[in-house]
Amino acid sequence: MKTFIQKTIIFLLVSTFSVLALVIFTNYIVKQNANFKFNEKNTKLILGHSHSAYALNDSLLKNTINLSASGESYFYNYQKLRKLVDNNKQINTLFLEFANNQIDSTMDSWIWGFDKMSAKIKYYSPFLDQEDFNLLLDNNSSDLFASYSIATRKQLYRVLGQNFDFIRDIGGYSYSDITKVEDMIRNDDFNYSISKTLALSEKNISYLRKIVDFSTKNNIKIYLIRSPQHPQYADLVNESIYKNVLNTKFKDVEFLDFDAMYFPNNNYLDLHHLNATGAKKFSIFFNDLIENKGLLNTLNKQELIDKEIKVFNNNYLSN
Amino acid sequence: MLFNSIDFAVFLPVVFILYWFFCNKSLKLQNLLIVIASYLFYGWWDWRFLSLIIFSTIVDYSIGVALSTEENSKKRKGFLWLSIIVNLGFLGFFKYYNFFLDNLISAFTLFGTELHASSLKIILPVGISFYTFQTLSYTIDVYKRKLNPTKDFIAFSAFVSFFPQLVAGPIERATNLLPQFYSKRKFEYSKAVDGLRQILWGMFKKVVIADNCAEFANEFFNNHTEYSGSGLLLGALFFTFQIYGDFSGYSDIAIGTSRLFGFNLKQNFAFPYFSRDIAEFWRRWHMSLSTWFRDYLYIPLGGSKGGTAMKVRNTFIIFIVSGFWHGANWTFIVWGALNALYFLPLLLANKNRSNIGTVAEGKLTPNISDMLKMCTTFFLTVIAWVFFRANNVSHAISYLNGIFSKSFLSIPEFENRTHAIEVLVLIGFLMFIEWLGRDTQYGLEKFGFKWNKTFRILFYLGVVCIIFLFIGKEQEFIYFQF
Repeated sequence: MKTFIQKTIIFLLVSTFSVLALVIFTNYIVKQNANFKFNEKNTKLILGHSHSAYALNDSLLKNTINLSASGESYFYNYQKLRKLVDNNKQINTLFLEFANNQIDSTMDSWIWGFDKMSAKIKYYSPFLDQEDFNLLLDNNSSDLFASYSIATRKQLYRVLGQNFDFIRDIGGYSYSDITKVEDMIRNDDFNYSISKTLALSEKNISYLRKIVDFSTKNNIKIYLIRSPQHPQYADLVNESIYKNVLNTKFKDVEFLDFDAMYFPNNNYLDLHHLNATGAKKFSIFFNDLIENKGLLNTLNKQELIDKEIKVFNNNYLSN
Repeated sequence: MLFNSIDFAVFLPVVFILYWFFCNKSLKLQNLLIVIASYLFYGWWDWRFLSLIIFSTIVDYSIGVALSTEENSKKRKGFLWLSIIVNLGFLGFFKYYNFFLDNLISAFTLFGTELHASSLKIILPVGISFYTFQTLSYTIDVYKRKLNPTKDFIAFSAFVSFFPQLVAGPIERATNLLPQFYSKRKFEYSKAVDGLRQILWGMFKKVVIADNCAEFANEFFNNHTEYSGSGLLLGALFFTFQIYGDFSGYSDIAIGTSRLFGFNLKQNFAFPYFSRDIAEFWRRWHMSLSTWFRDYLYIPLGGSKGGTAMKVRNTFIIFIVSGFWHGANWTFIVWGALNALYFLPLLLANKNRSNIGTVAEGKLTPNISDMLKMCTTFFLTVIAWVFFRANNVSHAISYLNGIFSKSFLSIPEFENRTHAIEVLVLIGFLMFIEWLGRDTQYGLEKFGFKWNKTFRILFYLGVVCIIFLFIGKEQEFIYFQF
């Protein structure tokens, strides 16, 4: 019996050690070799979740790279930003998506819920701070274990394939040439992505604050932007709470709101996102504002945006 | 409590230490600890349903005692029926009440009569189908005087509630398991090591194979209209290995855990996907249920002794009842009937026992004939599983129509294909190990025994690492819902 227990304990210890060694080794190698570098011409960076990923086609934007990613909360945006800034000293401007759902408590599950955590942590596990790791551990330890398993597999493949280039994996403009809006409206499918109580996600908001502070510390001018959303976008129900958060917690950050832009239904993928046609129009519009209309040097930016949106909407309506 | 949970990882060593270090002096104490641990194990899920197990235990124990003294055949039969009614009554109410009610309402509606009755919100107690059949086997065997009724209530309670196999089998016969509670268990090193090895293999099947296959099977079955025929076939294939990994993995963990406590449970899966015909498949799949139905339903109905009509009738009855045992849904009934259809030609041609031994015994590879037979049987099984997995019969038919469409030969398009390839490689690894160990009790039993011990342990460590690398979201065992 004693031999059995001794040998079992030894086997379990060796197993645990082997697994830990695998996690530490792969994460260490990836951390040492990770490459987040992009073209040096790109001085402007766009981050956010699917709204900005679908809305801004960076091939139409001068000196700009869009590394937004679907389902990505500010917690993971923050991890991404730190590595990008570390590898790309030329970044001087950050456009960060600030949509209605990003303040909502559903974002908590975007941070530590299994689906989102397992999908995102595989890119950022080697770079998490103790504090960030503890946040995940405290809120969902069992799924964190499963997520680390997926992450370690990914890191192992990186090590075996000597592929440490992250830029192609961590986000980018999302192209879609379909539209589902008419079907969704017909089927009353308004697809809420926020909580019924409209409660806030204090954690996600706190990571937005971290992003702002980090950018400021690194001399990066940060703008919160709201990409165009369909007028029947269900998450607009929290508009007053959303504006309140913006005005009380982030009054030190400039906000560029494009929500009033008008697009026909077939320019949207769904009620949340533009499709490629809409993205092309919006990207050209956005680029023109920055490059030709001097948006970033204008004192009252939203006034200029509203004026240009009015022209844009009138042009559409007159056509 | 799930086998693949942190709770169980703590529970098992604690019970093991108490069992061998503090209760090893007395048989009664060992059995009592098993009862307490089993009730804790079950109550972890929902303590309210412990009352059902305890009630069932008291009823069947009392009936057993009554049968031991009663000689009047009518009264003996009455006791037997009481046990059957109580056990099947619980099962019928919790599992089938809403099914029968809904179908009754539908039937009346079909004939133009509106029947007003509403379904009840009934929670299905985990494992009820398993422990009900186990206790029934006791009463029937005592009634038939194949087994002496027990006078030891604690031993009987431990037999009914034995935690490794309480919620998803194997369904043990009283003749095999109950006598093991009569004698004090002595620790056997080799048996315990073998138990751990089987637990490791069961974990691999569940966590690596079943849970990863589930991800794709769910996607294909839930959105079947969006996929090509080849994609849907792949989805059915993933489910085929999900159900095998899930259920045989559970059985391996249950049997391995029992061995840690000095018990021997019967083999429940004997490499069914290497079967050469459907009859062989059913001798190798969920063997404890198949033999239960054979002994307590098929043989009492006359088995295959009567004329052709009787053989056909009995075959359909046993397969349909077996299907219905899995769940209150027409899909399970159709699944059972389809298997009966597969089985019937073999029975009528008297070829249902032509493949008894291990395929390609003593050889590394099968011959072409066996290979073709295995592939055909496997394909038929994959098709049948579509009914088992589908939400309803029309879903299954639509899924099968999708498989056999023009896009059958196209390259399947779906998300996460890299991971799908990983899972297919792991399935290949599973089948390779199982093929090499197909004449043993479980795949890993003798694997690597000819190697240097260090290599063998390194191999086990490799399996642990694979389990870690491919662990997915903690998922319940499919058979819990049965």
